[in-house]
Amino acid sequence: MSAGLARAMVPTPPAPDVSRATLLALAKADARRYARHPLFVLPCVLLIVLMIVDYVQNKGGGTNPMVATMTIAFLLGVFGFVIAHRLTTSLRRTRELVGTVPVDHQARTLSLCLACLVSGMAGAACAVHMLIVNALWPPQGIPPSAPVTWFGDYPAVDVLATLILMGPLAALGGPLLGVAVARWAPFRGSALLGVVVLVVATAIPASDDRGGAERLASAWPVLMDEHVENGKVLSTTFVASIEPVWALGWVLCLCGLAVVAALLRDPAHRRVLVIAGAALTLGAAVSFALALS
Amino acid sequence: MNWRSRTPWPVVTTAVGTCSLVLVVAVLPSADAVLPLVGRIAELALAGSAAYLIDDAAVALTAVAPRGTWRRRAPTLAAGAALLGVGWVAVLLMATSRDLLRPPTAVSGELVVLATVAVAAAATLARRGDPEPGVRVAPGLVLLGVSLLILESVLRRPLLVPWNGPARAGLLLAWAGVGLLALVIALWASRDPVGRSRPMRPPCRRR
Repeated sequence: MSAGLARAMVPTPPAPDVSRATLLALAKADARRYARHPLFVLPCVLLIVLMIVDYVQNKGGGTNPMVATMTIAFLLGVFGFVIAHRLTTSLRRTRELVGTVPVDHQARTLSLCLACLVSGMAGAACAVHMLIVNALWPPQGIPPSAPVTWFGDYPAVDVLATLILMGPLAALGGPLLGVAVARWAPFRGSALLGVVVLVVATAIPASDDRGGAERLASAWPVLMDEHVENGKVLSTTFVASIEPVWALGWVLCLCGLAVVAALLRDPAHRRVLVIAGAALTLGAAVSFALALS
Repeated sequence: MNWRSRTPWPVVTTAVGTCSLVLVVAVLPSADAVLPLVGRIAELALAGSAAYLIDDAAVALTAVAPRGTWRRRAPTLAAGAALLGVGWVAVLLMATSRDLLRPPTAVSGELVVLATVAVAAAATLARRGDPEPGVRVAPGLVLLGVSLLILESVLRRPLLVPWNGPARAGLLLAWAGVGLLALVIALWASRDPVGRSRPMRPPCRRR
């Protein structure tokens, strides 16, 4: 029998049914790889040092209590993009080794997406630190009657939504985007281009001085404005035209869409994924519209 | 002698991608506010992409060829440098057309230093056995550059050569020092394992 005929007669094995336990075991292993990556360890060390400095100097957020979210978003979100991209493309580089694991590529992608929660949790820890520090040394505008983007001057829901959106969710979204980009564009140079596009696409809407709706057209919407005089920040206010709670919904839907996009690279469960993607797109559109209304 | 170079595709995609990005931003109504930052990111990306020029996926085979490391790398480095030069000139043209970059010489020098740093880091990783160090070094350099940008806004002191005015002599000297150090590291990391500088002679024929 010829080799070609033999190949034709052997049916293609269906994608193995991955149990929840297997997926969790894989996700734990990937989370460990993520947590040990130098580009995660280094920012974490830096963030811990900054936290200690806050306590030593008895310093809260000052006139801009949300300023630390920029550090979180950059050190955990943008760095996380590169880590997740690298971990995902490593599946291609070690194809022989990956082939020995009895799970399909989609399950590996899902486990990588779950591993990104490591970054999200680190972001959440930083957000909790911000809450503690600002409770110990409350932020104040100059003069004290000037508003700051914190509890007391603004509704608690708005403050919490902004804090989650610009901190932990940014730390989660960056790596998720990294997985999606690596699955669809695994060529050399895609990580570099991805970082450039991510930074630029965030910087352009954030630089809108009028504080308009353009701010929301970003994966990391900057929802507050600094009021500066002689190079010193005197007070901070939320962008009036954007509703933080719905902006949170918008970014949550974007994170979900990144997961769906990453999983759609493989043919399995396409129908469910397309439905989930459509629902998330609708959710994102509704959240965007409501955030601006 | 064969001097054909491999096409450094990551450098091509980076040059095309960053130039397109700068072009798109340059036509935006709020370009004046963002273009310096985007130009800076383009500079970092172009410099970082120089690391891909050291990549050699088949290093296990090419390293045993009777040709020195620099002789193997030179054609690709030359082609890549030309591509990066073209990309940078395009970025400069777009930035200077809007009067956003006043002394292009100093910033161009900074690009050369950053590219040397990228090559030095990639050559060091390649020496330690990584066949494709570019995938690690290139995004790393952009992250480092953006970190410096954030740090200089916190310290209120220029760490990178400013785009909108002359740089202090001390800063230029520091960058020159970094460039020199990177060059020394690149040369040290790229020396041949057995210290050969000439191609090996073919074995003598026995009569």
